[in-house]
Parts: sequence; structure tokens; C-alpha cells
Amino acid sequence: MDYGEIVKKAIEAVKKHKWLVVWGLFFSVVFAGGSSNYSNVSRSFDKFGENTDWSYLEKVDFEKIWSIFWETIGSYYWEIIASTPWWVWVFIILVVLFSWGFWFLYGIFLKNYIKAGMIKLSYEAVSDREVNLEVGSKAGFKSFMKVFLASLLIGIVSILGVGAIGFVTFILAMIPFVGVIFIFVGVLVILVFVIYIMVCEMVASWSVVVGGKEVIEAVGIGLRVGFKKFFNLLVIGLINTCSGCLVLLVIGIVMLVVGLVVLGSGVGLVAVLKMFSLIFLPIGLVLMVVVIVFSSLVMAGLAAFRHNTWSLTYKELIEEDGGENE
Amino acid sequence: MSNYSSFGKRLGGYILDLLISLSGSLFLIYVVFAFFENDFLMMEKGLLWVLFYVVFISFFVNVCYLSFTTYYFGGSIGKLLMGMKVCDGRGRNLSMKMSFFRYLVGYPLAKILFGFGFLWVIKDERKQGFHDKMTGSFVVNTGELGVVRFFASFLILVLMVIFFSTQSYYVFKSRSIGMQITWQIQDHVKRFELFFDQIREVIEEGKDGEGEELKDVVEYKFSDDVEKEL
Repeated sequence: MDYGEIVKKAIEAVKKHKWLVVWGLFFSVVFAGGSSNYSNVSRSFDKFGENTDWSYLEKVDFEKIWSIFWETIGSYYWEIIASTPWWVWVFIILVVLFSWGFWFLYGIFLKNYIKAGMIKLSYEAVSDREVNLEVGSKAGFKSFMKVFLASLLIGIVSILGVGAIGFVTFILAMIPFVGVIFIFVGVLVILVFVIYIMVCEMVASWSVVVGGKEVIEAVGIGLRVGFKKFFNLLVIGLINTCSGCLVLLVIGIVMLVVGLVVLGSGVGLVAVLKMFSLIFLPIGLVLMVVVIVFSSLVMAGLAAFRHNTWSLTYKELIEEDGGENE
Repeated sequence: MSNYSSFGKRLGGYILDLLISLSGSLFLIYVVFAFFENDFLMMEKGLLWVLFYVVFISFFVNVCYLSFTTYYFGGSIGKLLMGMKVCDGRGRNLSMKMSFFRYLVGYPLAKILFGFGFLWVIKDERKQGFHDKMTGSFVVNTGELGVVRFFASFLILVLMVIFFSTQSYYVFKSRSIGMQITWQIQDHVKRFELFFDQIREVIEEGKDGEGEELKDVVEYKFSDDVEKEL
């Protein structure tokens, strides 16, 4: 595989197809946040737990706390709750459940719809065929359920795999003296397995959307091609990760520079002439809008680029594998 | 084909739909203010219902309204008043599925990046926004003058908005609803303050281990206080 050629073609396809970048914009917005936020939250919770001494709580009289709660807040709010007819509560619970279910399903649908559309458009772009929103939308609508089920199935496989490796590692770690070595080996195996699962998921999704395969078949192709061509897929994954880091760095620097300029000039202007802050505020807002637009478009281009590299890789690997696409 | 509706005309239709939605919401608020009497516990419940509607139901109601009117009549009330129609490539009304999809998925995606997908109508040859392109739909003129209808409808809707907002404000002022809500909030805040103060004392007591006596729970009659202030 010529990785340089893949990167070159992927960049050319991004430049050539504006609708691919527009869909990339949808993709980057819909998939924004996610796991990184969770890890930050969990980290802050860990710190919270580490630095706090909770031992004195053992001496606290919780019965007293309960009586205070009841006398100050509990009885008052209970009165309000009790005076509300039961059917109102049933209605509220039903509406909340319905709306929660609605947003949950909507989120699943939207993510998989956008993902399937992005895969299709990137494949069409690198194949030099027509790319527009209708093509992406139709593909997204057609394949969203299959993409979701393929991801779900691979997710289950990954949970079972990580569980099994973890269990074996745990057993082997019990062995005296050499147990520590098995822990390191186990962690390494889990890491490789997770990367393998990630590339399998990619191949399976592409097989569903552009190969027109059924879910089970696509997962099978994913697991097989992922195993056979692990190194090639890993390199593409690394290229994509590095490009993502580079883009984030550029966006970060631009934001920092703009932020410093805005803040510095603003403070300076306010210090010298107070009336200038009135002029400065709209300029700052305009700059902020420009930065948001710039970073969104860059992220959209990045999403398109990443999918193009995967599409090109998929094309090469499946052609080598002797598979046929729709 | 020059029959595609321009951005300005579509914006007019959007403004009318917005005013319809606004007058509906103001009517809801007016009903809450007018029918929940002076009992601010009931008032609070009424306002909670409005909040409940806004948080949980309004998006869904809006999508349903737009989808059904587009499927049955070829467009929302705002669009119809402006003499426009949403159709597919053959000039037929959108199917229910496509119509629902247009508003449930197309609209939110077109709103990304300061409504870039809507603004695209200005540049596009066939005057399609992103939501139109995704569903293969077009907004076309039905051949009738929309400007006159726009101003007439705009005037009526603005009058409705003014009427409901002034009526709501009148009831709001005459029943001192603003004051009642403020006192109500103060009442809640005081309760929680008292609760947390006393909890802090109990926890401090546990922390020091000195066995400091917990002060008796202060009997605070909130409703009496509010009555005095009233």
C-alpha cells in the first residue's frame, strides 16, 4: 500500500468536493464531545475522592439530618406532591419517558445516519463520482440501522474479548514472581485488541454502506480483514490520529492567538480610553464568530479527509481480498 | 425554472410561522395567568406546566405541526400565506416520511454554523437549502401574490402577539404575580438556606467530635412571612 498516495488522493478529494466538506461539518458537529468529556469528568471525580477525608462522616448523626430535612424542606414539598392528583404524576412520568426515549432514539438515528452518509460520500468522492447531499442522505437513511447493528455487534464482541483477556490476565497474575509480567502482557494484549476492534468496526461499517453487505456478513469481513491487514489499517489509523492532533494544535494556536489579541487589546483599550471598549466588544464578537467558522470548517475538512483515507484503504484492501462492492 | 421561491419570500414565511408560534406561546402564558387565580401555589404549578411544555414537548409539537401541514397542504401556514409550496421533483406534496425527515433531521442540520444551511438558499441555483437538498424537495411559488398576504398576516399576527402580551402583562401586574413569584422563590431559597445551615452544623459537630449541642430547629413559618410582606 502506498500511504503517501492515499493521503494525497484523500486531500485532493476534500478539495474537489464541497458537499463532502458540508457533510463533514454535520459529522463533526454531531460527533463533537463524547468520550473526552467523560474522561475529564471521571478524572475530576477521582481527584475529588482522593483529596477529601470522609472519615468524620461516621460520627455524623444521620437521623438528625433526616429530621432537619423533613422539618425544613421535606414536609413542605411532600404537601405539594401529595396534593397533586395521581394521574398528573402518571402523565408526567409518561411524557418524560416518552421524550427521553424520543431523544435517545433520535440521537442513535442521527449519529448512524450521518456516519453512513459520510462513508458513502467519501467513497463516492475517492471514486470520482457525483457527491451531493441527496446521495449522502439516501445512503444514510438506507444504512443507518445496519451501521448501528454492526457497531453494536462489534461492541459486544469487544466487551466479551476484553472481559476474557482480563479474566485470563487476572488468573495468570496470581502466579507468584512472574505474575507481574503477565499483568503487563495482559494490558498490552488488551490495547492491541481494542485497536483491532476499532479497525474491524471501520471495515464492517464500510462493508455495510458501500459494499451493501448484511450486518453479520459485514462484521465477519471486518474481523477477517482487520486480522489479515492489521498493520495497514493501523498505519492509516495512526495517520488519521496524527492529522487530527495536528489540526487540533493549529486550531488551538489560532484560538490562543486571537484570544490573547482580543483580551490584550481590550484590556489596553479600556485602560487607556474607556469609551473604546464599546468599539472593542463588537470586534471581539466578530472575531469570535470568525474563529468558530474557521475551526468548524477545518474540523469538517478533517472528518472528510479521515473518511477518504479509510475509503481508499477499504477499496484497496477489499480489491486485494477479492470482494465485490455494489 | 424560475418558479423557485426566493430567500426573502421564504424568510417571510418563516417569520409568519415564528409569529404564529409566539402568539400560541403567549396565549398559553395568558391562560396560565388568567385562570390560576391568586393562589400562587396553583400559579407555580401552571408555570411549571408551561416550562414542562417548553422543555419536553414544544420541539416535538413543532416538528409534527410542520410535517403534517407540509404533507396535507404542501406547506406550513406561513409558507401557504406567502403563496409557496413545498414539493418533490415532480411537483407533488412530500410523503409523510420525507416531510417528517425534512423537519426532524434537515432543519437541525441546516441550523448548524449560524444557519448556514438556510443561508445557502441565497446562493443556490434552485433555491434549495441543505434540508431541501437532503430530501430532494423544492419550495416553489404557487403563482399568487405573497407580499400583500404577508403584510396582512404579519399585521394580524403582530396584533395577536401585542394583545396576548399586554393582556398577560395586565393580569401579571394587577395580581402582583411578579411579586408573588419573587416571594415564592425567596421562600424556597430560605428553606434551603436554613436546611444547609443546620446540616453544616451537624457535620461540623461530627468533624470536631466535641459534642457541641445542635441548635434547636428554628420554626420558620414561611407562609406567615410572605403574608406579612404581602
